[in-house]
Amino acid sequence: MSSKIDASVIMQAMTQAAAAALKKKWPAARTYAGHEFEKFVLQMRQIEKLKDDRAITEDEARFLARLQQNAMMTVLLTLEGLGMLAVESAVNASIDAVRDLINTAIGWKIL
Amino acid sequence: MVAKRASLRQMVPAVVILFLLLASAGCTSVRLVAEYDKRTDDEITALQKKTEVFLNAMERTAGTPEGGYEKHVNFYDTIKADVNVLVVRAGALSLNVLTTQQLQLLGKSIGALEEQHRRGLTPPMIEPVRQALQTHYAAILTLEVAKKTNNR
Repeated sequence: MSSKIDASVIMQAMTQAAAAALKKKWPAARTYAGHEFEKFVLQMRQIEKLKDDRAITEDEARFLARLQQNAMMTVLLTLEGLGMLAVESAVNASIDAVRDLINTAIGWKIL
Repeated sequence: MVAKRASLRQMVPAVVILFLLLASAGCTSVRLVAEYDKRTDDEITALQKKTEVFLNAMERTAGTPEGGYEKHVNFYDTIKADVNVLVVRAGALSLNVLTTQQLQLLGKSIGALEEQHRRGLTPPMIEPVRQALQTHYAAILTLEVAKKTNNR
């Protein structure tokens, strides 16, 4: 199937936008994001094919695209969550690293 | 070098606040995201199964009187109630705003599907609908399971 949708351009644009939005949290979400962005491109191509085959109307295409957008927003929230969990792990690891030092220095187990 | 020192200096109050918060709360670790919720995990899996059963039926009957909206009102009534219950539960759990928003988006998509079904669902639309809803469910489950497995 020849498509007018350039997968590499779309993948690059989505990846850049997500990486810029998530900043340091991006590495934790990269693998999952790449997989989901690929799926999004496939879905858009499927809608394009249905249009080319005259299997759906413009309104129906708009409905399917709306569903895909909601689904992609759900994915982006997962990316945000994975990033936050990565930050949480890093913060807790750094606290674990100094826990004994702080507790010993203060004389109370406060951490 | 100067900029790096300035940036480190800016971080000091944040680190001090973090330690004071931990000390005052008697915490041993920081939580930025809600704890894993088994009920959400189980309910989402159950919702996905209900959705798949509905879509399988629609694959056979879309475009026929048997696949008409009136024949499936019960599915929409049930699934919308299920999602609303989950939204309220998720919203009641602390640090759970992301999952709450995800469930609200799922509710929006179910609502959009119902609207479209009223206007008419045709066989070619079923697979894209399935893909979109699967993405919703998988994304919600991915985050929920990550809460459990992220070295917590």
